[in-house]
Amino acid sequence: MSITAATSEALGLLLGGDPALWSVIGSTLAIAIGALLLALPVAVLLAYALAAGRFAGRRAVLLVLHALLGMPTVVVGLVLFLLLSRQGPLGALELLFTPVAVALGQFLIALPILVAFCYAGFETDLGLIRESARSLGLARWRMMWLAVREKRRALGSAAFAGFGRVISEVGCALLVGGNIAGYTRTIPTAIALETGKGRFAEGIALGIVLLLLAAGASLAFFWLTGREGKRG
Amino acid sequence: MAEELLAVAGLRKTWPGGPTLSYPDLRLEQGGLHVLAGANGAGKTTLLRMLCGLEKPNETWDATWRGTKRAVAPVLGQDATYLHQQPYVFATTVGAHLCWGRHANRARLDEVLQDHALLKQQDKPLRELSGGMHKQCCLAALALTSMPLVLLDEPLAGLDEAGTAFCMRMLERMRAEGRAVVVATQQGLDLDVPGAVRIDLQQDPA
Repeated sequence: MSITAATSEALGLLLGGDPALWSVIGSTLAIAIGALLLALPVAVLLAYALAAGRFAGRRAVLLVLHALLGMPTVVVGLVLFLLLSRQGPLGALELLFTPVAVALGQFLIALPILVAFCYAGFETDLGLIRESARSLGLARWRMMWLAVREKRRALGSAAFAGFGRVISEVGCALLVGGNIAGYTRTIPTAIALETGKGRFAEGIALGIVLLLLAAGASLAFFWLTGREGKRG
Repeated sequence: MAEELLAVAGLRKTWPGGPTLSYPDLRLEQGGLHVLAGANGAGKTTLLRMLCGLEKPNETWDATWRGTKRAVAPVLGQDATYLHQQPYVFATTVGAHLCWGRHANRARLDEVLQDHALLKQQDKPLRELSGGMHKQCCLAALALTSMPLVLLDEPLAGLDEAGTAFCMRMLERMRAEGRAVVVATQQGLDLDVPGAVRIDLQQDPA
């Protein structure tokens, strides 16, 4: 099958509302958004502590964090697989090959990138924001809430950077999800499977959606980062 | 003689690879206006920041606060309030910012608002104000708090005549409330008002 023929068939599948295809897209989005919704508050807290605190070992934490940015997702998958497998320490939870396991993997993959981007957002002005807030006698939690509000665009752009990273991730999802149709199958794992089976149209259709999602996330990131500079 | 709020002797601050700033003995009075004068690098900002615990002096803090020995610096937001040289512009409105301060009460807010035409535009976002107007708004917000020690870093810089007059009225208001006001200013001349105590900082920055 030529690329042109496969692409036109792919568009037909997408526009025709192929249920199998859209179910993969739906579960991919549900898992990624769920993982990000869990990871974002944790990342914001960690980033705030790193940016505001002056504790021993802070530099070491930052170094580890930046080293983790390039962490191969398949290694995360391997570690998580070993933890969740029946003989592993978390085996009793019976989470392996469930969407929760895939989301857990994405949580771990997204966390360093979210913390790094949130930290970068907080780093500028946080000292000044905190001093200004403290000068007015605001309580700690209000100071933090203010900082989050002031840096909402940077934090939003971090979320989109994290989304871009997890949405296209294949290694970890394949290992801990098992690529089960209608359950743990995500767009990248489905593309790997369909291409392996020679079903290029399905692969291309999912590839188009993935490209649009990743490009949308990057554009949103770019837009929010630009707005952050304008402070408006 | 006015009652003493804070007395601190022999403050020194050394920056890594920089000069050591040695300060004269300070005696800050309730209701007093203390003008820190000195050239760039004389350590005015550093002193203000040490007086509210944002910077640590070389030696352990040893001072008298309301006549009692005290081993910790005044706490920002509790004992002291501090106006940054270039205050942060929050994404909020004039009215909301003025009400943020601890103990900012409505009656005092109305008084301050009556004093200033632009501050009456409470729905105006801070980010739409000019630098000078924003500074006046920040000063008004600090004036509405009730911390006994008020530390202001170059509050008059960039203000026009009306802004300067408003700033002076705010200073007088805070003094009348018995708060000790410390103002850092490059020349020290623009605050040559009756009763002001001038503190010259003469360190050589080299």
